[in-house]
Amino acid sequence: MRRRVVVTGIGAVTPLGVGAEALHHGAVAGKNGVTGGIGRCADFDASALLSRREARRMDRFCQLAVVAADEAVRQAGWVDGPPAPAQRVHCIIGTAIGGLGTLEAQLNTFRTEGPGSVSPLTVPLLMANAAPAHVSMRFGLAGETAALSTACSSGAQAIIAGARVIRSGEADAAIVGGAEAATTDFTTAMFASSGALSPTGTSVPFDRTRDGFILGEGAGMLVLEEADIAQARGAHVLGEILGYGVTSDHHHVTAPEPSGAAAASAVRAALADSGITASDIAYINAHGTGTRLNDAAESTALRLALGEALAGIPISSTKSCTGHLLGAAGAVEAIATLQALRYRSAPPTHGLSEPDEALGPLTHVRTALALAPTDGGCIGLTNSMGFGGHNVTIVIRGRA
Amino acid sequence: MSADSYVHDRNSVHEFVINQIESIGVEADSISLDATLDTLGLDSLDVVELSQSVTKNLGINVGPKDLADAETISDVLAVIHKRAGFV
Repeated sequence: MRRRVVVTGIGAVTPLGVGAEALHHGAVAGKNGVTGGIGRCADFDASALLSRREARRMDRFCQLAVVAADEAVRQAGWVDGPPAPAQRVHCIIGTAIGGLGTLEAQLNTFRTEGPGSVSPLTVPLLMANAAPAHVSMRFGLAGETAALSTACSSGAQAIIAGARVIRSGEADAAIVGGAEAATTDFTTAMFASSGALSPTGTSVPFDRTRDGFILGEGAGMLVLEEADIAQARGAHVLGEILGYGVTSDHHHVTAPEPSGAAAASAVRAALADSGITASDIAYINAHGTGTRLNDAAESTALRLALGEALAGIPISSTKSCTGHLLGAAGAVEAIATLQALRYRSAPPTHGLSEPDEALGPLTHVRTALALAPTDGGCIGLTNSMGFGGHNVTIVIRGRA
Repeated sequence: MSADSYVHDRNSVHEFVINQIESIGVEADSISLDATLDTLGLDSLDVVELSQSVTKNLGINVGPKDLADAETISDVLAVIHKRAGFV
């Protein structure tokens, strides 16, 4: 029998606040974490957890990751370290960009003060694998530690990377997730130039007037464990990673493939891997960036994969109230999905007032929607898609 | 401002170095002249930062290699004093 992967801890730092509870309760209350056209983690205070010395050796994206990981590990109850031999505990964290703020600051120092003034901390601060490195040091993880980078699907693929090695038997547990802190003026200019950013500074996925996404920062981390090991130690199980699907568009470096065929394949693969059908899905947390192209391609893909059932499944986008967290998005949205299933309350797409009929029949969540209880817990699906043509679908079961 | 325009002496250098080590995150009351860099938890990256800040803020040209053999705060100060030309 296949090894099963359960979630025993979650942690998040998002524009909706510090903590996975703030993420869920803020979202269902219709709160908007975006101010001034950017989703910043205004409530985040690194010094609440990190010493001055620790904090100055981490870029902001890494601080966000470590604080979210600390929340997840505390919830998992890893009081005396990981529940398995350290070498059998992996750490995979997604980031699209890494320590961009550090890179910008040190490049400025290099240009104004010369090469001799570039900080010796530059490399350890900006490297994409800084987050998994610090998490592994902090929590004593001696198994495989890596960063995973597939643009806006990085966080989701990092979850899958952890689930995969637990299933295969290479690992017994993993800390996985995603982190990003790329909301600088330069990042804004980059994404604006690519045409993906909302020129009006609003993000309203699925709306007729949608015109792009808004940048956000944050981190989402999950503690995954092999089900029997979690059960043996009496862990409180929050949910289960039932299955996943990952495909590539092999089409264009930024635009999604318009037929949605490859993205639909990812959804189908995830259902088959999970052993469920479309009618088992209680909630869909869409990638839902709010660009013209994404929402059209994503809804087409979901319809191809789920058929007529799609029209009756509540669907919403977390990005409407956090902005687009890039490499953290997939992980934060997996947590938002799990929370929606645990609390049986689907969060709304913030600001959605005129659903785009061209996207076909969809059950949009406009205000928090109660999900009917089901035996064994509600099942949800979360999509992530990244520049480069990455399509990632994860199916999650939440335990009440 | 050129390096020559800085005014510094043993006391001001001492004070500056201690402040820098504190700003790196070392507890103030653990810092003493005979404390070793190891004991204070300072690694090679910290030493490079220290040498950069001495060069930039005091105008005393100290490279990381100059501090390679320094084991204690006293040793660090001796190197800086020497580079500054203090007799």
